[in-house]
Amino acid sequence: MRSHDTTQGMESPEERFLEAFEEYSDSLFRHASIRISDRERAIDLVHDTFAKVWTYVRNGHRVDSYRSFLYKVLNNLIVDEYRKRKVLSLDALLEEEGVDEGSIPDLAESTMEALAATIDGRRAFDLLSEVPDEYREVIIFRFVDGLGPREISELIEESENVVSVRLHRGLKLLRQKLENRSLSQGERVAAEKKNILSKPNN
Amino acid sequence: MKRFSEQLKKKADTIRLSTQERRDLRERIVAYMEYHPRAVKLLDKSAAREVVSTRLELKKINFWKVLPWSGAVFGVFFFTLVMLAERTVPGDMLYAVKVGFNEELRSTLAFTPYEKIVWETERLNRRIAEARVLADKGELTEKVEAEVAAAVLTHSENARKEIALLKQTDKDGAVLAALQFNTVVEMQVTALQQATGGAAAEAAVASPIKIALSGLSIASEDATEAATLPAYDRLMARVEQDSMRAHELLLTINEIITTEEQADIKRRLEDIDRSVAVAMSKASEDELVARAELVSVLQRTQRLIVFMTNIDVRRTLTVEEIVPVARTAEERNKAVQTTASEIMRLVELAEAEMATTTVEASLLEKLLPALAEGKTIASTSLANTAFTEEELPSVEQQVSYALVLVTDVVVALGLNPNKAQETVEVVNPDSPVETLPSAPTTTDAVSDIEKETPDNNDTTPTTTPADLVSDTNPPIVTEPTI
Repeated sequence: MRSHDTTQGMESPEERFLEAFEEYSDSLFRHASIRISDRERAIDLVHDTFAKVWTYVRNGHRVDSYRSFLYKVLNNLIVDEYRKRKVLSLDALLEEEGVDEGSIPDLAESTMEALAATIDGRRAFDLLSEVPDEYREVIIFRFVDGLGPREISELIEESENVVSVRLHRGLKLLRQKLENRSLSQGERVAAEKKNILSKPNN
Repeated sequence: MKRFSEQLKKKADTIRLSTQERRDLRERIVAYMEYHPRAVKLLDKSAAREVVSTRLELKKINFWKVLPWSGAVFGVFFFTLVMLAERTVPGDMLYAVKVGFNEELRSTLAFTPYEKIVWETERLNRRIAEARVLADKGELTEKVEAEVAAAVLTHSENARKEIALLKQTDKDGAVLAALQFNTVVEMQVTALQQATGGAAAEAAVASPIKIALSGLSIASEDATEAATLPAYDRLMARVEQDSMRAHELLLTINEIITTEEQADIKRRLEDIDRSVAVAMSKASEDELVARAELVSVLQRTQRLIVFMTNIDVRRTLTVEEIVPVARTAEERNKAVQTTASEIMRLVELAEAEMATTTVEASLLEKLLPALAEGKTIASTSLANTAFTEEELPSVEQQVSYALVLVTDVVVALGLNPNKAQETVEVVNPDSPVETLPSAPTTTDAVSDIEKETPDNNDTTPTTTPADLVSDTNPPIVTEPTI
């Protein structure tokens, strides 16, 4: 379905919309898939995202930047999805993890760089699903979708400071989990060695 | 962090929609779009602004801003139409505008009955002029001729009605209006009469229109009746007005008339001025005579005006035919002297012949008294070089008679009076000024003259040179009456 209202060479809203689908559908699916760890559901969320945006355009509104607008709509849908799943709050998670948000001494980019440099990205990706969504979304926005702190703050409607805190926490948590897993693997190997070593010679 | 980001991104890029998933997703979204189409009226405003429509759009215009310009355009168009219509003749597209609108509009601008009469007279002139134009082009059909004749009758009837209406409130004004109307009609009749038998074009104009004109003159009564003459003051006012107009007209047409015509017209105007002075001088003694004189002056002035304003009349008639020159006393005295000198020459010629040849006694018996009488008259005339205005008419009559008498004697003696011919100006004030050839030389003419020789005591000539030689009608001088 294409509109032929191409007066004076301008693209129609339909054409622009479909071009946005071609350009951002994969990115949106990837984001949704990592966030909710459900491929099928992620496709639905992407569909709902585009449907909502089309309704917005259909009502006569003009979208100047489809990228930010699509991410925003998708993010809101993912938040709604979390609410349905009754995901634990950040504070509860913080209590569990033992991290005091107010005690984070330094949220500067340099600190985050230093922190990120200590984490193996490949291994961290597998552990993203274990990180609370508040952290996970900003990590994905930042390191997968390539959005800046300002864009992320507009998307999640939080301040840049909050975005930085969550990024920091998220990365720290990832590292901790990686360390725990490493320890766990190490302990298991050691235990196996010990078992082997402890068996008598018959 | 870059390394972490690259690693994370590389890992994340493995998560993507399959081709089928992507296709399915697109179909779902396109279906949604088709099911929820975009409303046309809700086009983006910026895009709508850039749409170029090929349809005509009604634009709202400010009527009060456009009104002055449209009024000006209409005015220019209307004025141009009116001006173009003025030059039309019967058969042209805008002729109806000329007759039905232009002339009717001017009729409404004539507020007084006198102005209306003047305007109806002018319209009559216009119809005849249009007929002349068509006749020149060879386009004067019978139908157009009949229409012109009918129009002439219509305008004259309108003038009559206005004159009758004016007579109820202003008798003098009615007389003056009738005078002007009659002058125009008579001039046109005279011009058409002159044209008859002349150029084919003029002759074509002549008959039906002339017939229509011929009965138009408002009946006149004897000018000596006091009841018909306007008051002296009214006459003077009208004479002054028309004289001034005639002088102004001369200035305007100087460039289009010949030098000779200029001189002739100037001479007539001077004659008119002198006549006015004479009338004014007589006013205190005999007002009736003065009024009659002014009526004559008014007629001559109006004729002159018609001559100057009507090119067709100018083409057909001469100034002399319309307004004969009014000689001054000096000119008349000079003419008397000239005639008397000619008489004396002829007397000497006859006496010389009688002295040298033998003439029959019976003939001699008749010729000698005639010769003596002629000589006496001539001598008396030559003796006085300054006859008064009152004396001149009788003196002129006498010398004219004496000239005829002596000429007959010379002819009776078998001599040729033209042998040493001199031009003799006829001094009869009632006839046009013209040069006279010699008297008839046939014996029949001599016999007729012998028979017609009056008694010596009878100074009234039976014939005048003007009657013998004039082949044009004397100018029509009618006194206006209603």
